[in-house]
Amino acid sequence: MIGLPYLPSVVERHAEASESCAAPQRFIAFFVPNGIHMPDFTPSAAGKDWAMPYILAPLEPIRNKIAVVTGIDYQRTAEPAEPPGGHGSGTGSFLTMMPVNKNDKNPARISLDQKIAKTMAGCGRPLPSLQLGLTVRGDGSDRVPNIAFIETISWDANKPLPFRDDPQQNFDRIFAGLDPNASAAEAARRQAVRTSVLDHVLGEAETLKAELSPTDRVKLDQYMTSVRELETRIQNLGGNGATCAKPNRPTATSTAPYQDRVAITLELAALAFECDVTRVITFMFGRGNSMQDFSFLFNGESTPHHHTSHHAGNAKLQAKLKEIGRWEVNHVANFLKRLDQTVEAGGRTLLDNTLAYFNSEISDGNTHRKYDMPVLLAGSAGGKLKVDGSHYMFTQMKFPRPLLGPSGGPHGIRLFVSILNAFGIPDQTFGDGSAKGPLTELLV
Amino acid sequence: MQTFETPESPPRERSGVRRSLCRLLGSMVLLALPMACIGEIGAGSPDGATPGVNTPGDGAGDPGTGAPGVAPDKANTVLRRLNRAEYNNTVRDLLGTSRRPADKLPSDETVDGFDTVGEGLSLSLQHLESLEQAATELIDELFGLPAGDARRRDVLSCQLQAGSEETCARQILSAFARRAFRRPVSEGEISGLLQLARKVSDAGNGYDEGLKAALRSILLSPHFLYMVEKAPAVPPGESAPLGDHELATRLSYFLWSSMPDAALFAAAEAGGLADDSAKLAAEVERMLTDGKAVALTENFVGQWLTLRRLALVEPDPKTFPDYDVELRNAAVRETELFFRELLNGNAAIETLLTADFTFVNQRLGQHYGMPVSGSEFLRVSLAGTERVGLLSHASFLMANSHPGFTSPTKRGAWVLEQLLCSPPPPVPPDLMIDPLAAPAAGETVREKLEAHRAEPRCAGCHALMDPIGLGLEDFDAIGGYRDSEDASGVLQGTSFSGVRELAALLSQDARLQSCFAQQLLTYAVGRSFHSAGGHAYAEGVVQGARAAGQQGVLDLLNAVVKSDAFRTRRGE
Repeated sequence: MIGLPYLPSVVERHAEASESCAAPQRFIAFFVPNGIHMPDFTPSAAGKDWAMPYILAPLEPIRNKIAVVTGIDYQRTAEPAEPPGGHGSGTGSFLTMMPVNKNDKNPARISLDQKIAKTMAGCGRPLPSLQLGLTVRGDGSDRVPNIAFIETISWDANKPLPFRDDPQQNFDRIFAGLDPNASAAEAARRQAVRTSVLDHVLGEAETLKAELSPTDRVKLDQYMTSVRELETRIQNLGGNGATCAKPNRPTATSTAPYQDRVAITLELAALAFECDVTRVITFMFGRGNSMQDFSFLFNGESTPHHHTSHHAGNAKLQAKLKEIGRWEVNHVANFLKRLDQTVEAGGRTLLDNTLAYFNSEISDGNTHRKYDMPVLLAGSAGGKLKVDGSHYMFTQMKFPRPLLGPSGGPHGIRLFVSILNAFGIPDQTFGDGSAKGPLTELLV
Repeated sequence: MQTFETPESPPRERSGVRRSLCRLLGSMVLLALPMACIGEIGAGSPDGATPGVNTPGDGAGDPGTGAPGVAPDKANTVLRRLNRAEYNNTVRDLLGTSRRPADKLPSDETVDGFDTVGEGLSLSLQHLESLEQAATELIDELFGLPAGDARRRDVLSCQLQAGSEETCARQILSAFARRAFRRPVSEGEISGLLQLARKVSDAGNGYDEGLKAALRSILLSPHFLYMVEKAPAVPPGESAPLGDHELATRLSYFLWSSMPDAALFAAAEAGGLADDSAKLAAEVERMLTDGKAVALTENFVGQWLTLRRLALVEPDPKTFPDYDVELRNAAVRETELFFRELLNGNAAIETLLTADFTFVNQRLGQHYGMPVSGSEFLRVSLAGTERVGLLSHASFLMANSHPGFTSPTKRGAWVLEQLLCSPPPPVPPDLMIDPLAAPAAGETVREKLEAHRAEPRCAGCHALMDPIGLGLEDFDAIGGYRDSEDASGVLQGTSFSGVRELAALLSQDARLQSCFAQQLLTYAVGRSFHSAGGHAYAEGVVQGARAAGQQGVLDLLNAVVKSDAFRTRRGE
């Protein structure tokens, strides 16, 4: 982990803000592009007694707070008009469980993180949710109807919620309104002016709405929703806002090397949880189909991720994929270990109160299969899920896996239902509704 | 913890697998294959569409409606948010600022390759936070200018007088809102703005702050951030002309990626813009000579010919030690200048492929083996050289290569998609592909691809893409000439060799014109034409222009502006 110069050594925590949010659960989804080298990800045995696979090794110190879930299938038997390559459809459905195609303008498209964020909307956090990620090159070959499907994993009412990756901009966003130099009166005055302006444009939008076509109204609704969200944000900037002293602003910008930006952006994610700025985060290591060059791991030898993932059985490329996967997991492990150091009310750590979900848009980059996905969980959402060092093995297939056909395990929708239930949302299905019911093995 | 029963599928034997590029693994194909690659280049328009032949514009019928067996093009443009380029240009023209606040926004979504399609452009909390910040910065900058500054006077045209602030505020706000909203504003809107100013002022902030808040609200208003078009009062499916200001706005964002100027405003005020094609044509002509028309090249051409993608190209430094960013920028500039020349000269669209001229400066000339000195670009003749037209531009060749070697497949697919609007179908799932494997020692890219086409499931699509790309094998992965490779092929049953013969063959493809029209329509109208009806509509626009003896690039641009799709809206 790169030591960052601007971090406070100790984050000062304040008491919980409101009664309605007594169980301070958090959710974070990690997206890694181009699949994972599964033979080095999959533990050899189910249960708790398994040797740590190479890619997961960085998680050893918090082994009893993770769960590996294998044999989860994401692919539908009939995905209509799947965009080329499968990276687009895999990324677009990553958290929505809805197929991605030209004619699918489903207004109900919502991602798991947003569904959870909505239940926490009343908690009065400054940010309803936070989208973070790294801008990387794609190779342009994975045409999707709307580029957002491959660059975004958070969706609300069919609206993509994009991330930015400039560390300074993200810092400013997370700590907006924390102006230590402004008096309370001054801050309140500023907020009132901002709210007056937003009220005014909201009124304009209301009037305009009546004059627009139905499809245009849907777009205007997006605008109005965002205005209301910003008003809420401004209201929450005060005493009910962030609960820690403002750290120093990072010096890095979006031009910093990829590996530095990953470290700093994860640092910002940790701060956003520690300071209770938000309770829901999505984090993309890059867009689907990422062409990020991992040459920094291989003595400068050019290693574009997407091309490398098409290993065609080549041992050298597979060895590289193994290292890339481990590097990604190592970053996630550092983040999780950091959360585990903050103790919250009731004696649970911040990690215990979190559910971290890790996966990719496809399982094996070479075949683009969306069966037997590389699913990793950490934290137990406040003791609501059995994330206790288990390997939940929903398939008995041995390596090499057959390259065609489902693994025989449950659909990912059922995993999502389990997660929703853990967050107190009683739904029994999700996304396109093609599977139902939770994975009872995971429920407490 | 237990494991779960699963139907046991025995692992397939994979011994002795030769490293093939594309192997169908196993015979148990469970997935429906996507549409197969059949037919060949030049086999008529895609989707089995019969081109419509009605004449667009001039009050004629809708070309998208007459084709039998094709669902007519009935789509509507969806409320368009200003994209990042449009926002930056608009505040430049509105406030005279050189700030580019939209650079801080998340990147814009594209549909069919363009960031002007309303359906794709979204607005999230994160956008709005940045837009609020931008409004604050822009208005603060304005108020911070010295009193005599022309930029300041253009907006703050009077002095607030204590006790009668509203008289001046009314003058400032009406003029600013009219320009920002790109249309006349109502008395109700103005009094709403004055009310906001008063409210903020009365809260103990002073009237200056009130005026600033009202100005900020204009920059945050949906009337500013979106290209608002009112729903027409006609039954669903029927068209009605856009209002004059709405049409002027479409036109200025098409040609300038910015707001209308005073002259275009005046033309809209005078009325009749929507139903007098001579007036419209006169405006197009005037606007294209304005410096702001560079936006058409940057934004339309930059996306249509994927020049924006060049920013992401990273050729392998070991293979290409001479490559540098200067070369890349020169390559982009060449294609931009080339297109401007075609447009200004109203050249036939085929010239895109067959032009015997281009533009080079010293850096690019060095790359092409043409002696030109200085950083300025000069028009040079290509007669007698190995280069001709766009297919020998380094920008295209570079953007469609691997870092270390060429990709005939990418180059062929690009031509099919960008120039012929007939993209090859997606790669079938469950195929092993290894696009990056460099050719083995002693093996050419051509041989590698031949092995690949031995696979029946790969052959169909590659037979469409590869011949085009293989005809460009005289150019390496950064567009440098080489004569070490075989650049021959067979297209539509005709043998050819090299880029000249290939370009001549492709230039006869009828889809070249309709595809160009389709790309222009998508960009200009701000909605997708990627459907059978959309193809047919574009075809109809071309036919109409052709019937009037107008076949040049500029003619087609004018035909798009005259088309119903551009000038009208449908009822919903």
